[in-house]
Amino acid sequence: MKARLSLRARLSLLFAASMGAVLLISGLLVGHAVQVEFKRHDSEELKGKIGVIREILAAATSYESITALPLQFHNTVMAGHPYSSVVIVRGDGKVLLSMGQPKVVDHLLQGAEFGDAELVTWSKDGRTYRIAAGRVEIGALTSEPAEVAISFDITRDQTFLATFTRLLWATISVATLLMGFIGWYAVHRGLAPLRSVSATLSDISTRALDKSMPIAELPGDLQGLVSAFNRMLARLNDSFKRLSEFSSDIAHELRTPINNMMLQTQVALGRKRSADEYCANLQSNVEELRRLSRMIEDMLFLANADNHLLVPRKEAVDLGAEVAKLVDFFDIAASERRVTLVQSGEAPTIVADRMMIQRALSNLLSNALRFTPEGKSIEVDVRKTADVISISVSNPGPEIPAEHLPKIFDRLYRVDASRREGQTVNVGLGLAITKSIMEMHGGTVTAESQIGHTCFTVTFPPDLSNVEREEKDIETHRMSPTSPANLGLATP
Amino acid sequence: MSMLGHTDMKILIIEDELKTEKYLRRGLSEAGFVTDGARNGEDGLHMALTDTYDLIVLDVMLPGLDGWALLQELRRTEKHTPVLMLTARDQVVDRVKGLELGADDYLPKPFDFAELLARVRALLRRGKAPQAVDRLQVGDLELNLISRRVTRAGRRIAVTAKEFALLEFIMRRQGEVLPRSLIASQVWDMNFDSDTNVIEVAMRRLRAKVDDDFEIKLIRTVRGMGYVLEAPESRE
Repeated sequence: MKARLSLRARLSLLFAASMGAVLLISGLLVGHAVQVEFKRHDSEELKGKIGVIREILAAATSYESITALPLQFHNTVMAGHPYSSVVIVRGDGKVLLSMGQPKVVDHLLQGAEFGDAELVTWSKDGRTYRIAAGRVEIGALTSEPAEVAISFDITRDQTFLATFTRLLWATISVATLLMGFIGWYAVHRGLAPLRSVSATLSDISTRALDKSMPIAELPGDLQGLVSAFNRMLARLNDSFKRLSEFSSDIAHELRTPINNMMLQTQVALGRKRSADEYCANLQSNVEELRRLSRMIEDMLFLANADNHLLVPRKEAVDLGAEVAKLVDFFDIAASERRVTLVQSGEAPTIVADRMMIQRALSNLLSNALRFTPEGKSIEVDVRKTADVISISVSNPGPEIPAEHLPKIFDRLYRVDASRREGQTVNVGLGLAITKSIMEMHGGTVTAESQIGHTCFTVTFPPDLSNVEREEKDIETHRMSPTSPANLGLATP
Repeated sequence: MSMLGHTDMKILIIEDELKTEKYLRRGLSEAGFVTDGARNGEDGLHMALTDTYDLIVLDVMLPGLDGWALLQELRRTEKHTPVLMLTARDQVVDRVKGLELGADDYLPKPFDFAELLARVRALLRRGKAPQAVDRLQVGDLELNLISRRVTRAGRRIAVTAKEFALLEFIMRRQGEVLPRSLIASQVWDMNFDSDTNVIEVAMRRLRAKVDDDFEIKLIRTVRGMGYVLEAPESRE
């Protein structure tokens, strides 16, 4: 596993490295420039000297006067360059003049530099020399041209240069190192806002989820991060609140039936009773316990659905047939109150989880049954249009007030606050479950209610009816019985 | 309750919760089974391997050797005894895991005892060919599956199609106490837990037709559990 560098280390290293690079390049440039300058200066000097010598030679009247030149050169031309050497060689090879360091003179006399316009650098025995050569005319004495070669001893300069270069590199290295430390420190200071944000964020515990970090004082680049975090906190807070409310609602819901059972049982035990009375008591308890059990199942269903742990199975569902089965079933209870169930519309086939759809629709039907007055009828209509596949359950009956309509699909919500209609305990989860199931299928459930008439409609997205395409999916899933979808598990 | 021809079917119950184990054993033995119980995984496994049982009811949450490991070990030794798993945790993953490891059925707690009983019987029935008959008879009640006619003591009883299906179902399962949820799912294919009283009404109507005019009542309500149809001489 690659260790990730901290921001601080990364930034410091980058900083030190770039400083180092800049200093290195600067050093190279300076070193080079100085070398070049020295060379240029020497060249100029040498060429100048050659020029002066030319003039002197041009004015020479005799060879004897030339032999007296070295002293003159030494005193005038070469003044300031104590270790210089000069040779003048006539075109036919005769040495007209030579002065200076013997070894250098020997070298110059070899004539390697004659005819070379460029400056030459030559070393011998630990000393370095600059050599320049040039053509001269001896004026009146001979028509033969001669070559003059001059050399300066630049050892001192070179020593200086070497020292200078060493010093330069030393300075660069130290500077880079120093930059490294300064950089590290600067970055450390610079990242202080990030550290303080980090500390604040870890302060925000579950108890204080409603805190959000103020972003005004933060540097610009951190604002984006922190406002994203604030948004996430808000969502978490919201979920947490809803969860706490749900938990406390559940506890309240459980209290009443449990209280009933306890009360009933304790009262029954209060005095000796007949076997039948005990039996009746036990039976009543079983009913209540069944209801509680159902409520627990429903809560678990909703909790799993919320956490996306439920994925609907995909199978071909003939909506017409399913509705018919439901109608057939509920008709039995409906007919006790002379309520009729009427099915109309088409029978599209969709790909959905059959048991879930059955559950979603049965909740609507049992609600409708509860509220439809005697002798009336409930209409179930199945429609398919280009945009949507819908099933509507409508019945005459008491109106649901407009302000309650959007909330009836919330869990444990009841229109009648006193919470009891008839004998059956209406926990208020039925519609929430229907909504959850419809959402899992990409659909919706809506309610309309006017005076005397209520209608609940569930809709499926039209692509669910694309059975052939979905069937292919079913086939591939069938081949692997433990594939996530087949097991009702969420796919990653 | 009747023996239902389950002569000496042995069931092993492996459950660490005292009351659960006690009442499961009592309920099942009163339903006519021979029962043994184990309160932890090691004992349970030992008993399962050394003795022969027709069914094992296994709790997932066991101290020591847990239900999963026990099941795996059982299957590894190729004991094909049917296993019904019980659990207080009902994650979908658990259900899947159980079936993959070789359990035959899975029931989350809290469960209806009548439901458990029905499932136990269903598991024990497996492997036996379903009766291919053209008539069913309980006492003097006769159901002709070919002509779709119901008669009792020779008298024709008019029933709706659904009532016929319902009667057929309870006659095929004669002597078994059938919980409402089972009737709803088998006869109407309704697989949700309904809080409406459809099954009660349906059974009431059926009884009105089948029992009201006759002295001997064949359809009986077992309070808190469900309904049973049985011939009077098989009753204890």
